[in-house]
Amino acid sequence: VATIADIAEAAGVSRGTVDRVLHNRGKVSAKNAERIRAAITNLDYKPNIFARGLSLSKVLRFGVLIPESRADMSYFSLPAQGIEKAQKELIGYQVKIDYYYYDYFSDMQEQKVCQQLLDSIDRLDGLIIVPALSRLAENFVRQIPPGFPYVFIDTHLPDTHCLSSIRTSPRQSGKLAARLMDMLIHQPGTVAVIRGLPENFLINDRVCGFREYFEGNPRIKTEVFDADRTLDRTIFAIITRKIVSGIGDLRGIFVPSSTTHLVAETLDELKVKGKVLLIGYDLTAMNVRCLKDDSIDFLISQRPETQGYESVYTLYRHLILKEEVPADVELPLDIVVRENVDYYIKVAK
Amino acid sequence: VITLDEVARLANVSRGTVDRVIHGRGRVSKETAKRVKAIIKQVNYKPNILARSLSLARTFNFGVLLPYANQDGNYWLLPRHGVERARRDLEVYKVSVSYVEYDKYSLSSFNAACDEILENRGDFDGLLIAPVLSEAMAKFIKRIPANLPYVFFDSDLPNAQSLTYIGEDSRQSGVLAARLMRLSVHKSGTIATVRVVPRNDHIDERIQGFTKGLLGDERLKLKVYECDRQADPDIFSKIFSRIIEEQGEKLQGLFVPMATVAPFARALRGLGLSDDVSLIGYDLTEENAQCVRDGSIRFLICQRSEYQGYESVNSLFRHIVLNQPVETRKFVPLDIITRENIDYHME
Repeated sequence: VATIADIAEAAGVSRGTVDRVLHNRGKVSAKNAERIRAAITNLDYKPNIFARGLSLSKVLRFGVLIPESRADMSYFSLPAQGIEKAQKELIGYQVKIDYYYYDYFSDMQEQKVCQQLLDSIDRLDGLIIVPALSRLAENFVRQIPPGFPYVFIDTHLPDTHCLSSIRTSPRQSGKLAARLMDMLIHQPGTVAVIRGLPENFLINDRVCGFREYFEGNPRIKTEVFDADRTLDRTIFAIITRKIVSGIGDLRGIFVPSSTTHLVAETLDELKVKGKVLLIGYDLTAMNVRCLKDDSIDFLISQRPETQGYESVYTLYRHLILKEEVPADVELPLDIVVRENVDYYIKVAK
Repeated sequence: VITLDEVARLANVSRGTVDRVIHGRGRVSKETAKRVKAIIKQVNYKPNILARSLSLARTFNFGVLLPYANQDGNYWLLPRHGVERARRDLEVYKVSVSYVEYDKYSLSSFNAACDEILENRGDFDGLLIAPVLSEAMAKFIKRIPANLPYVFFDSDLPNAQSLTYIGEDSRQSGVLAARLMRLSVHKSGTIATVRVVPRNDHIDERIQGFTKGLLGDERLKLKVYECDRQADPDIFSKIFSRIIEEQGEKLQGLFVPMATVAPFARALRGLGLSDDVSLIGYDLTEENAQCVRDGSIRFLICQRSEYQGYESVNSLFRHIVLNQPVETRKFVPLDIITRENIDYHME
């Protein structure tokens, strides 16, 4: 078995230099780094991570840039459960997480929190980013030092140097919602789509996938209603009422965001529960409650806990095990109904 | 930090004795074990796993008792993939696995596999068991030595001393299937289901849950067809013909409470009935997946078979090597698979 000493000898450098290259730490000239990497490949060196874990009891510190999970954005509290699970599992390493929360509803391209994060990036080994506000995120990742590893979860941002993105396919999830509507609606009619945050590309992609499925379908028409960008309770109620009173042959409503429960509550008040099929997203506490009392028929879930869990492991594999990690991971889309919801919640906890 | 030496000194026993108590292996008098455990708790001793597995050079071998991979439409490949993944992950801790397989439609083959395990029991530190043949399995379980821990996956056996069960809640998965059936069938008529003999508790529970879930829907009448797979390997095509013959146009749905769904899907497709009869079954085997893609299977319910295999090995590892507590039962999520989400579930 090749050791660090063997690598150092083959590359004609000190053991410390090899160690710096292995850990991506400190300064090493490009030429030396190249020679060391070649020696590592030639000698098929595999770091003995367990011995190292014992001697160093290394601390890995990751920053997480994520929307603040207030009221209707409680979805963003879910990835943390998976992050915690990974922290516990990585015995031999102390994984520390610093959370940096940004405001999902602020239009500002710059938010103070991004600068704070950039200022302390030297103390971090990697970043996990939810790029829900694309302009903010684009601006932020441009300022990340070259070579510093970061992983996207929830959504992908094109044309960046991210190590990996771990997410579900929004377009395909829209198609899945459409298929469920198609199978479960008995009579011809109209399905309404309530688009909160119309400028959000994730939500938009879901709507596109949904409409694409019904293109040329003689049985079911779709009609899109835009809410303004606040995901506000009152606005959802007004739109829902407008849909119920205005569309004579209404068969179902599709809500491509985690605010599905707002529509459910209004349908309940209007006493049309059970007559109008409701399909939405995400296992937030409020949505789960509506699923259990039958005011939501189906929820599509995107495994936020797994996204958090995998993001920690991806950084760990890259930083410690020096493994190639997949650049794009598309996770399964879960179909959740009253009868199977409990198992998804248990797994999450 | 408290060391093993200190625990040994406080308990006035050798290091080896402390180690045996921690691992629950070898002979230690009850009184000594009790004293050692009390001291471990008192001084909050946490064994340093990494140091131990490096220094003791101890190896751990887990036996896996399961049906041949190619049975039930290659279903048994799925948990095996998970076992293999765990084996690779845990290789560094010197964990290995050995498979002992049997023909699930032959009692003598099963008994031979059990004997093989018992004869070589010294080679195993733990067992992973898929208890498919409920009755025969119950007999085998009684013969497993008390100091050999075992984990059930796929299905559970009540009243056994298994360390844990990792698999679905079978009854609830039947209830779920019934909900999907009610939602996807728009007319009134018959829903047919098949029950294979020799009976298996796990499959029976799915049918019970399904029956319960259909109650209250006056449009749908359930009819159960029994078929003896042991006596006739070609029984599924015969039973299908019988269902079609007896039910004709009344047939609205078909519930197949096991992994062998594809033959029914192909038969329905052959008769041009895929759009009229809602077919709901289990498990993401390759051939089932194909039928979901071509629309001849409406929904599959999946029980995270790969994860079951992975987590079974992991549970034994946590119990035996890390000496960590393990949940006594771990229900997996019941995944609903249809054409639009199947690709992501296949990986």
